[in-house]
Amino acid sequence: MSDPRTFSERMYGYLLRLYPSQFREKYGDEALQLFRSRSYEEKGFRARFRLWFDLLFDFGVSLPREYRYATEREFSGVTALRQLGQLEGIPSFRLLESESPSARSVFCAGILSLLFLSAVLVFISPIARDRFSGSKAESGGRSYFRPSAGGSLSPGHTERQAPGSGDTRGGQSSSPPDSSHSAGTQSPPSSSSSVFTPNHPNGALSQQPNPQNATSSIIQAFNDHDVVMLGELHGNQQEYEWLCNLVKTPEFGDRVDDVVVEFGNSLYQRTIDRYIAGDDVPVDQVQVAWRDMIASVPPVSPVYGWFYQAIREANLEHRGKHQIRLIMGGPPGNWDKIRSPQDLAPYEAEREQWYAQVVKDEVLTKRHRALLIMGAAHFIRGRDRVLQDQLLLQQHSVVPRTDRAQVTPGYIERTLRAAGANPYLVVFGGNVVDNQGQVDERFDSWPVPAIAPVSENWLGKLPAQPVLTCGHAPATPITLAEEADAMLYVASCTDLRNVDLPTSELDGTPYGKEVARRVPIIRGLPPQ
Amino acid sequence: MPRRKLDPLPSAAFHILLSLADEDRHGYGIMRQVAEQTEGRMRLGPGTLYGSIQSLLEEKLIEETAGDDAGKAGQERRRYYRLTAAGRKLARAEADRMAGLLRVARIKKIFRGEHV
Repeated sequence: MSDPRTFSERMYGYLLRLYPSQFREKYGDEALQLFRSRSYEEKGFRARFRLWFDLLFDFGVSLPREYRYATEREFSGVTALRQLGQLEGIPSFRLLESESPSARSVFCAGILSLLFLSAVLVFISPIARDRFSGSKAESGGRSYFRPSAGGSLSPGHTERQAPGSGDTRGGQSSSPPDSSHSAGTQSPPSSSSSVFTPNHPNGALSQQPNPQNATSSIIQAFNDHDVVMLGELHGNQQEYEWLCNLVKTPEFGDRVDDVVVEFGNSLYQRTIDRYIAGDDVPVDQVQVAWRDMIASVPPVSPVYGWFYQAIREANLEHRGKHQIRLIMGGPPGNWDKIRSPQDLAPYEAEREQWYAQVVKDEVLTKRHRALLIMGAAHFIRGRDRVLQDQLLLQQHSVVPRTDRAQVTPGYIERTLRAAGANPYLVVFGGNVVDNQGQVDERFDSWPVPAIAPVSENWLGKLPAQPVLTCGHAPATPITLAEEADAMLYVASCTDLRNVDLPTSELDGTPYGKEVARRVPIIRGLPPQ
Repeated sequence: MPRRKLDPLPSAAFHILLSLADEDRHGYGIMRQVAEQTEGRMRLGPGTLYGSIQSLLEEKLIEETAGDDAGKAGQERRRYYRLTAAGRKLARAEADRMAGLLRVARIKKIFRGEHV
């Protein structure tokens, strides 16, 4: 991969060279890492302006101090030698830097710094760059959009079958896929050549994103981040096939200590610890971990069982070496005692707080590295509440009002950053760019599954709502770059497949009866 | 070697000591914690942060600890910092000094409303 550093990072790297060598050698890398962390967190023009203002102000204050300190140290060595009489007859120099800067110098330096800051901001401003590159792109007259085959399509509407319909499409049993697992028969994306110009302001303009193999992207992300957050699409086949392969990749096992999942009830942590360590645990004792998660409208997709089993197999494969721990991030609600929406409400209300606390206790305090998996609605930075509501509706079918009310935009990421973590946020997205079903054909050439950073390229400028919901929600001015650091792309929206529990595991079974009991509770309806 | 000045204790250094009072942190963690404990009013830049850290290290008010990051393949090493007994003592003395000032301010009725 080419130099992964952003332009801003390179600029800051150059500025760091102005510090004395002793300071640079000891703290240069960490200062750069700190800058990188703040850059990930502080996006948008105002935040970036403040970041650079802070940095330049900090330069103005700390640079003279560090030079004074460095010079005094050298000078004190010379003085000591002179006192020892070892410098008699040897010329020495008085360094100008040992003098305190005059008010005039400070004023001039301030003016120069402001000029430099202005030049940097103009140069890195997305608006300025868009105008520059946009004029060239527009002159080419090219458009990248085409209508999708079926109009507005969402994963929840393409493949999902209602429980009891008799269709087990997606049809996979509860066993996990292996690397040879086929995605099954799928409708090819529209080959329509009716390319048209959508007049979207973010379409053909700006730089190319760099979609990379999703597995290596995640592994590489752990070079710079202790926590990688994956905002997932519940129950998606392609996504979970990839995740199962990811956790079995040796490099992943070497680098990552924990995987924290939303689809795991914390009540069952001990059982799951035994299961993924390779102990013989009855399947019904394992299944409850994901089937009993709070606030997901059952029946729960079998893809989570695949994932648990994949981690167990990865650990068995690496027995005697570093083991991955699967951490239950869901609140510890006991469904045996939950008989009404009121019983459920306290657990629903604490889902994100609980999850964040689990990560702090089980990952950060142990200084581990972890992959965090949770529905995208819980992870996105949420500058648009409508988008979060839409994602929740899409992923949870009918979501209780209390659940929507408790989703706090960006809460988990902010909490983890405050606790000293340096997260990288990847969210699941598709190739539909509005709620009329327009497909962006630039995704056609992408490898799948792929992850592409969204900073400073056309991908990041796409409207977040339709991309994250596969066209289920309309475009707004909120862009993808404002919601996450990178996007996971596993297939065209028309090809996404959800995996539902086979009816054979519901009809007349204890779990089927339990599902019928839970649904009205989760939906806030009176008992039937 | 010349010592950097920590008498009186600069505000940034005091906040760094406070941020390490409950747990060890790396540089970015300290910056985040200081921002949180000052409700965003103080954002330590890298120069001030690491300059202050160096001063505190030289005065043995904090010490470096090797986090679990060390030794992991392909990982950038992060330095973690821990408050020493001397650092805790100094932070307590500074807090006492501020509390004394606060008492005077209260007696002089400097505050309006329900601040203290």
